[in-house]
Amino acid sequence: MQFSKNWLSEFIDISLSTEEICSQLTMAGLEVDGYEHIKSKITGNDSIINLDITPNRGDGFSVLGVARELSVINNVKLMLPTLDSVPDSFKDDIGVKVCSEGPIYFGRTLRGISLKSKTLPLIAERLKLSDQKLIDPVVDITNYILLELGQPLHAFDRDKLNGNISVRTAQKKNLLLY
Amino acid sequence: MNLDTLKQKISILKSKANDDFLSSVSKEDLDVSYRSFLGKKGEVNLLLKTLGSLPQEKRKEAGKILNELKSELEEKYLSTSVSLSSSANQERLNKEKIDSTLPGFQDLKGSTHPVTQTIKEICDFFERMGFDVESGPEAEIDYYNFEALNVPDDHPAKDMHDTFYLNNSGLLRTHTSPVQIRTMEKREAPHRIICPGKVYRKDSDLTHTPMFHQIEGLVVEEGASFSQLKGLLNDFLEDFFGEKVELRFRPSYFPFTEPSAEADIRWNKNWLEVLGCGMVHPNVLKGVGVDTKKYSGFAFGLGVERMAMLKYDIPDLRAFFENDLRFLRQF
Repeated sequence: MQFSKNWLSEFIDISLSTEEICSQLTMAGLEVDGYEHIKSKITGNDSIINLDITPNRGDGFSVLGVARELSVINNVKLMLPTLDSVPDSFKDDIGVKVCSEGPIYFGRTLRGISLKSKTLPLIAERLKLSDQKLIDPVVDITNYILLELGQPLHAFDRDKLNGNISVRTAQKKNLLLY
Repeated sequence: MNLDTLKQKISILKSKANDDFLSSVSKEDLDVSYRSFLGKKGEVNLLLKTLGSLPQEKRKEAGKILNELKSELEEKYLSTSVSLSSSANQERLNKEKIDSTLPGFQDLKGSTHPVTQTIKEICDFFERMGFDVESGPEAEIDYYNFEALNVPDDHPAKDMHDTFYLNNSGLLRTHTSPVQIRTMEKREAPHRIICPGKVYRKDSDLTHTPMFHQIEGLVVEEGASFSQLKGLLNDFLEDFFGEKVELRFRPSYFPFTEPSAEADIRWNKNWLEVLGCGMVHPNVLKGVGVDTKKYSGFAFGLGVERMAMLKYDIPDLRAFFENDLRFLRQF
């Protein structure tokens, strides 16, 4: 997992050098594979940090997770994002069937999105620094949330969604399409 | 021309030829002189051709004298030639010297490959620490390579090993850890074993070859602890490198150990990973029927080529497998 060092400032306020951050993470079990100092037009003097995350450390697979680790090591406050709730403006009933491995499933219908609009420059830049290709604003924001918060998201095209959503584990010979 | 002038010429020729022959310093030199006197167009033949200008009655005598001259010169040539070649021989013998104290040519002896040497060195150390050397098959089954080591089928850690699978649902072992399981199955605890061997992974670049060598160590004893593991590895690395090493343990993850660590040594100012280790996961011990209330264990694994590269300052991993004699003869 690769991310821009300045992205961390969304969640923690520390003034450590990239080298110090890398050595702290490595010694905490989030091994730094490498880092590179860069100058970005949007994020300024920045560094790209590349982590080699072992399978037991899924919590380190996001910028928030890395910030949480650093906040504990340095005893600084973790600033969790505050999210304002957005009230419904219309109803869209889609049935959801969950299973024991995936007992909770949230979804929301959004209308009036143009795929021709551009992803915000800061989001686009952070995705690029994380080696993510820009696709369109909808795919980009789901990738962005996954990288930032570690929350996997998926966007369906409402026009192509027919019937209900069913959550289940893969069965033999199922192919994962993405 | 009359007989007297001929006789005079002959005597001049004779003394000239004698002088020339005697002054020759080599066989080649002598042959040149021989040709100038006795060759087809040599001076003796030239004189023979003048015989016709003599009066009839003198020709017989002149012929006789000339033939005598010819055989005399031939003789002279032969004797000079013999003495020249014998003196040439002598000279060569004088120049040549045989030093009978020089050692003779010996058959080229092979030496052990640096990988073999390194394995031996490492095993020697652990044998002194009471470990037994164990080995196992390179073609394994999933159970020994993964399942018994706490890596179930859908475990993400399986991705950490790029496995070569065989047709008959077997596989080439990706680490020497299966030997732990095989040994613990056939023998009762406590255990102290060291398992060197070839392992295989689908990986090939400057620092990876599809086949490489690992050494796996396992200790299962009452009270085996992480601090013993640290002490043992520290002693081992100092023994191996022949100097004090600065060692650090970094948290890591292996499914078959908990907690797991990677050990780095300080190398030219940088930290360099040299091995992986940890406390044997209770699931692994339970799987082979070890009483986890009584025994605990620790294990470690290291790459042989990597250790040899560090110790002998070898920059390219591939040197071990190219079998260039100029490289191998240095060991």
